[in-house]
Amino acid sequence: MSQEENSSGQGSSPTENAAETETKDMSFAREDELIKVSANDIIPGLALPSDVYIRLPTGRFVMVAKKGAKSSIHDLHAAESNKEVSFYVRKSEFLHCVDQNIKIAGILSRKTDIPVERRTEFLKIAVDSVFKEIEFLGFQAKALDQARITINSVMSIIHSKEDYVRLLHKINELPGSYVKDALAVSALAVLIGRKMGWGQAGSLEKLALGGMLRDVGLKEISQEILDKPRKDMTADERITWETHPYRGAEILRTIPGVPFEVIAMTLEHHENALGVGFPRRVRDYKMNPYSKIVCLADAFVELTIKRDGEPSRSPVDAIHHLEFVMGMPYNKSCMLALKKSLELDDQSLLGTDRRKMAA
Amino acid sequence: MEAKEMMDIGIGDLIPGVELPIDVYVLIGSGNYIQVAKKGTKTNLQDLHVTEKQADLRLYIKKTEYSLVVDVNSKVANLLLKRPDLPLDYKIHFLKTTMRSTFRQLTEFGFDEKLFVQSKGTVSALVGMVQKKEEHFALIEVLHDLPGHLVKNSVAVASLSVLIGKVLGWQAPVLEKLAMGALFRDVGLSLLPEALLQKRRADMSALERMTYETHPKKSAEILRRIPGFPSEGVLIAMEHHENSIGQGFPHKSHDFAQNPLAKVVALADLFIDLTLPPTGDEPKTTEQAVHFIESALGLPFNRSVFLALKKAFEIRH
Repeated sequence: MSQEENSSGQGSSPTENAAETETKDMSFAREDELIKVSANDIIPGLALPSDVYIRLPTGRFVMVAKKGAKSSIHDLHAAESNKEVSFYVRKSEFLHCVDQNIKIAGILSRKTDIPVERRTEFLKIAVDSVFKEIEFLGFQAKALDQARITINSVMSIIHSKEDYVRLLHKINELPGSYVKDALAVSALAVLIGRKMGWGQAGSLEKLALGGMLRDVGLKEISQEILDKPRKDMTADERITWETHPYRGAEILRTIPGVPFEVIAMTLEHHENALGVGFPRRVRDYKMNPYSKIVCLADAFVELTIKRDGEPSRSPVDAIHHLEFVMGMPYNKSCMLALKKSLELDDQSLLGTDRRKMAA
Repeated sequence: MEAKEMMDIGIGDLIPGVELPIDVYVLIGSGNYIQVAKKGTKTNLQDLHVTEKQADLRLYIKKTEYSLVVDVNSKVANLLLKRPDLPLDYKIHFLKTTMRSTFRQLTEFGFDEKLFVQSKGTVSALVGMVQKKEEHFALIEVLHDLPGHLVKNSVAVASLSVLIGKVLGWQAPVLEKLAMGALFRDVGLSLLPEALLQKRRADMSALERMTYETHPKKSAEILRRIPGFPSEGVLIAMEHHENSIGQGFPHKSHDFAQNPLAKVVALADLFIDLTLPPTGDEPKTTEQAVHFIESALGLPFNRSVFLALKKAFEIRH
């Protein structure tokens, strides 16, 4: 086809021409150019970091808010009239959303006059957007940097038992699963690390990063298995699920700049001191010191985070369960530090035991 | 000549000073091919007037004749690589040229009995050449020039496997099977979509990863159909992504259930991935890679094999 023919559009069908026009017109976008976000992914009250689209019943995507506009996505007519409506942003602009969320979470996390609950909300939005970035745009060095900035915000929020309990309480009110776990494990690992005297910011940063990225291997497990509760998994499905720590370590080793300890934490976050964890069944003395903290934090958070259809335990109940039901399969010093962090002594645990017996 | 009948080659594909096994052409502006060297002549392509004037000029041969290039390269390399009087640099150069043409044949035309037979001598020569870490490092050094990651990775893993096998006290016939399996363990990758192979692991979806993890089985299926290909080589292809803790693929088998030769190649595969990664990634030094496998990954490979690797590189700690 000659250039003339091409420019006059003789060689293209009317549908192709329409599609071409739509792509050039920024009011429209194609599905493969977009990422689905919820209204909660964009912090309200700020200039929108990207154009926002909605999907029409015809399958076309139409812009409903323009980048830079100060109107909140929550105020859009579409959001008000239909709570189930999904919003979309261009993949190329999603990084701006992530950047903005992280920046705001970072600023607010240091403002001690704002309640921990409120700061947790912003932190969750930031973690959520980093995870979305990894899922949809791939795990690039940029995502690692953004995860680092986010965990510094986590470290700024958590200073005491009260801070953690309030964070946990708030997390339990929020939607999502892996993001909540990541945030809670990261925060708790920092709390335990501090109580164990790990004063260096670098060590705590690695600990928090390990807590946040430890489950990255789950991205290689099929959704069908991930959606099943453990009790419903077949032996084969369970074996597949148990490959996620090794898969996670293999994924992280291909990302430049991931600290060595973070890879070790990812590999060992389901091990325990008795040598009955997975994947390697290593005992306490062979585990990386960082992993000992993260695997305890992981187990504790699993008990205390609310999941669909499952009640969550209180921190006291969770400690009691780990200590008296599970036989304390984690490192003793880490467990002691966790109890100290949560200001729990043997008396309060004994009280729980008595209450349970009476019940 | 029609374009679809021709394929381009580099001057590096041919060993200089040897009788040309094929007619060689250049492509001129009109889209026609003109013969610049005739089959059977001893002319060095490096000396041709056209290549002197234009260093990046591509040479062309008939597709049907590329196998003859591989044949001559293999034969010459076999003769030269076994000569004790030749310096290591020369030997490595010949090995590189042969491997380059072998893998070109493999990626463009597939792996068949003829290529297997042609590779036997080269593999035998590789086993004879790699005696200590010095020869391995010298080989790795020149591999950087080769086009494509598959050939670099395959030759490096074969060389390291031989080195480990020698420390383990294995004899030449076993080492040849080991090197053959290591060299062609990834032939199954040719059946996967190119777009998938270009993706980094971190960017693959669950489904894409599942597809990628079928390649050892695909390799084994290809190799087991080649008459005379050693059964140990087929097992190496099948198990080269397994590990001793049952976290590998495709079978998630444990150390005790794995072929001894495959245990060596599985470790060599990861080690080379760390020290000679695909373009763009920061390579680890030998010591860093050993430390990483031991401490970050918790040594998920056979202990004796890992100790042999450390011994081969004289790492004591």
